[in-house]
Amino acid sequence: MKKYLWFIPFVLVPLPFLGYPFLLSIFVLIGIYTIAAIGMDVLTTWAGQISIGNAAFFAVGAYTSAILVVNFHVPFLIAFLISGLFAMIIGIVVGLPALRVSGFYLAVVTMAFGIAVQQIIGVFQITGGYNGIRNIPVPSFWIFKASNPVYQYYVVLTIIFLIFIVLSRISFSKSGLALFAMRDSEIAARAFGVNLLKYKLAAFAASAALTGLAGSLYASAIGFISPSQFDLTLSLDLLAMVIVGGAGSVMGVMIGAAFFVGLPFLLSGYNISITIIQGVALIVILLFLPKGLLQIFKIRDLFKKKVI
Amino acid sequence: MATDRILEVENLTVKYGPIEAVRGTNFFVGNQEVVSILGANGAGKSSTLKALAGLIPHEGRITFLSKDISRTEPYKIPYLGLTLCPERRGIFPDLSVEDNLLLGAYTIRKNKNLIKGNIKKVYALFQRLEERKRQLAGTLSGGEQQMLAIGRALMNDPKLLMLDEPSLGLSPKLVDFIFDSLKTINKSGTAILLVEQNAMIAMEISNRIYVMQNGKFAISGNTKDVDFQTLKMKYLGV
Repeated sequence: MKKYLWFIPFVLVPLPFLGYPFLLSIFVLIGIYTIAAIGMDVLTTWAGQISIGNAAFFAVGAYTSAILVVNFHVPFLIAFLISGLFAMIIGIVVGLPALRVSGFYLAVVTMAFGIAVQQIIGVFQITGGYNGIRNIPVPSFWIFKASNPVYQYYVVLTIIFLIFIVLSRISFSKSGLALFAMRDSEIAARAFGVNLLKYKLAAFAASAALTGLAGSLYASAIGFISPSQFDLTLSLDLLAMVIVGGAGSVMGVMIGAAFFVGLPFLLSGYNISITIIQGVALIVILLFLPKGLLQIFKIRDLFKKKVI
Repeated sequence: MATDRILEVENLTVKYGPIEAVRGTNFFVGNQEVVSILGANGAGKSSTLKALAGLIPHEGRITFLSKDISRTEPYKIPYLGLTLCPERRGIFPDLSVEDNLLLGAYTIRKNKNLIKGNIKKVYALFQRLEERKRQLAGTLSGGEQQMLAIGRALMNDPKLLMLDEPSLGLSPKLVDFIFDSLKTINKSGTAILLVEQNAMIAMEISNRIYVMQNGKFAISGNTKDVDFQTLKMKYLGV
């Protein structure tokens, strides 16, 4: 990641000065999905736990934040933090079965959880049932009114950067090492004193919290949420963003999110089926860049290998 | 005598559903001793070690350093100085050699100086690891991976090192090297409990052996007292 740090001051920070507000709001969306996909990345490539129910955490975050802001007029910043916290608690509960099952079984358990949450949200009054919640007010932070996409953009960018700093600190710490060890070999990790209970729950908690925070941002950026937005497809998209972009790297995840969120907007002007384009692109990427789009930056290495 | 024993196992039973893999075995490991559990495939050797490390459910009484550990959580056991070097090495393939070693020192993670000293000791024992310390562990050869697995197990200063089939899949020359290292490790004061199929090489370094057959010990005693013919018979299950 250090190699790509130039990207932040020279590309990401000056972007708003190009002066395309519409483009910017797409970048905000990409950023929000990046945060959620980082949550997925932490769970899958760091801790080795598979989940195809992360859309539920996204929904929990979005609804918590929307309900607090709309019904209880809580300031957004507080609602934002509470939604992350609440999603984290739910994440710990979901993490419990992961202590007993793994692999495909865990995938099915988390999938069931994702579907269940979606249905539960549809039943309750306070969540607006299947109609969802409309007119979620745009948050206003201390000094700036965030209705301007430029502010939204910088807020999201800052959050991603903070997450990146925290994650890179963890990855070089003993806790990070213990997580990676758990991913590589549970028996060996346990034989050397790693408390699997602690680390599995921590991975689920972190993943859920990040996804919940992203959900909260999503709710206020879009202004409208309903259960159908948080279906299985979203969970799978989050997983695909990680794989397509480049697992284990914030930069890669960002590229993956841009691919999944940005591409539909880019092609919306043309009369082509986005599903076909995306499907073909997915296959091509996985065939030629199995480690994700991030590999493009290392394309020279690919040619080097061919010579030898 | 009893005080010289660092590990005492009474009536250990391991069941996988209706199948009894280990049926009420009794054994002990003395201070600074090398003890081998030998036996054919499926005799219950690995299950015994896994039970000692707390990794599988078991019955019976396990006393380590006069402390009952039969109900201790598995992740707490290495803190006591009882370390398992798992079967098939169980190295972390996506971590570098050095990170593998650092993870081995997880139980002493607060003591940076001790970790540094231990890494030096491991590198002195296995120079090959130092040459490859930045390499991903998954790219090492089988022998190097075994060195790494043993080195990693030494990182938290175990009082008793348990090894599950260290000779697995290695060339005879490498097996000799690995067992020479085990001898060195034992000389520096670490007791060793070894599970092996390769009886000849294991007997060379062991003070005492137990021969397992269908979950029970068929033979036990000092290595030099064991009659080779009976051993052969029991080993082949005749």
